[in-house]
Amino acid sequence: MNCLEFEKKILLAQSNELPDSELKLLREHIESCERCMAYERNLNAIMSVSQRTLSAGEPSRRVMNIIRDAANDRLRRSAPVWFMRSPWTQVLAYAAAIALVVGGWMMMSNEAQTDKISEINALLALVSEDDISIYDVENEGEEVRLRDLADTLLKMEGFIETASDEFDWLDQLPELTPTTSRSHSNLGHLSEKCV
Amino acid sequence: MQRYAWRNSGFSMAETDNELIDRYRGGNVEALERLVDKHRRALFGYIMNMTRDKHEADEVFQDVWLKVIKKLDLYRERNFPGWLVRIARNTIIDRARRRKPAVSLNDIGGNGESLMGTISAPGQDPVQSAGMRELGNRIAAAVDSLPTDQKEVFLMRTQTGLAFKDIAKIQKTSINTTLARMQYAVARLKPLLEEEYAAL
Repeated sequence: MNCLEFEKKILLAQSNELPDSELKLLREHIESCERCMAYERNLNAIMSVSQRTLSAGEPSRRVMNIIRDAANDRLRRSAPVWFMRSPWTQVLAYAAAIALVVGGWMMMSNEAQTDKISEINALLALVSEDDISIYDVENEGEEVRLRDLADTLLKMEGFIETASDEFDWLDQLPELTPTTSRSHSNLGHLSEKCV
Repeated sequence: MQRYAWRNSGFSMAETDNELIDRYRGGNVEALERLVDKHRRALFGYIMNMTRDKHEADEVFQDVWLKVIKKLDLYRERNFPGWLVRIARNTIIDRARRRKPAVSLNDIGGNGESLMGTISAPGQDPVQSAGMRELGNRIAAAVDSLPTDQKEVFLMRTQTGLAFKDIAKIQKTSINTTLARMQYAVARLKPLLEEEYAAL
């Protein structure tokens, strides 16, 4: 290896890129080579003086403020970046967006085609379909629970003043028997009476 | 020394670039401020010595950080200074292509001072500072006379402290070529410095 090759090793050593094994060999060479020793000395001087004399001051305050504002703006405008990094979270985000749109559309169509009475009917039917088919209506506890629930619903919708209103809707219901396919129309007379 | 309105973030100096980037990605703007501050002098030194114009250096510095902020989501590298310098280099090249020829370091600016006069040597007393400024003028002129590839290697190494392997990647060349370019730059500057050392 000639001195020009060793100069490259000196450059690499100066930037901490030379492996330890080669560094040892380089040191041994420099100890015995005046030219390479001078090259290393000159290199260190050039690096040191250049770093000191070529320092170029500071960017202007205006520029630093623009950068800071851009950094703030970016954070304000962007969604949390950690969320968007994973492809799975992106898929979930798209799925959630689609669900929102479809759900919203369905809710809007329901609202368009139902009035207050049919809403109540639907709620009652939902309760009776689930609860009555599972629990025995003759069971006093379940019956009371169901009555209270219906009262609460009617109260919420403004059809009765209190839960103990004179209007005893349960008496008006057809005989409740456990069934798995109860139609909303079973409660149709209730809506007529309420109106 | 110029001071900026960056808030005291309380970040540790030991905090790595990637930690600061992660914090910024998580919504902490002070982390980005800290990152800018950390690389401010080295990056601006490189840009200033490449462009030789304070106004242009300001514009490039601003462009670089705006690009960094915009593209930070895409950053996957481990070597942030290398990424920064690569963006700076590309920005300088792009702007130079669109612009009139660069002004000389010794051209007289609007305030009656040469552009080199805006270059400071912090921490020096006036007499020493004048001597260093004179030396800086000579070195800057010598560096400026180097072919662009060699000038880039020299300034990336001395101003930003990048490793030769990273400089080689930025220049899209072999590390052997990068080392040869540095050897040539050092050979050009050596006689100048020997004179200056004798004078100092």
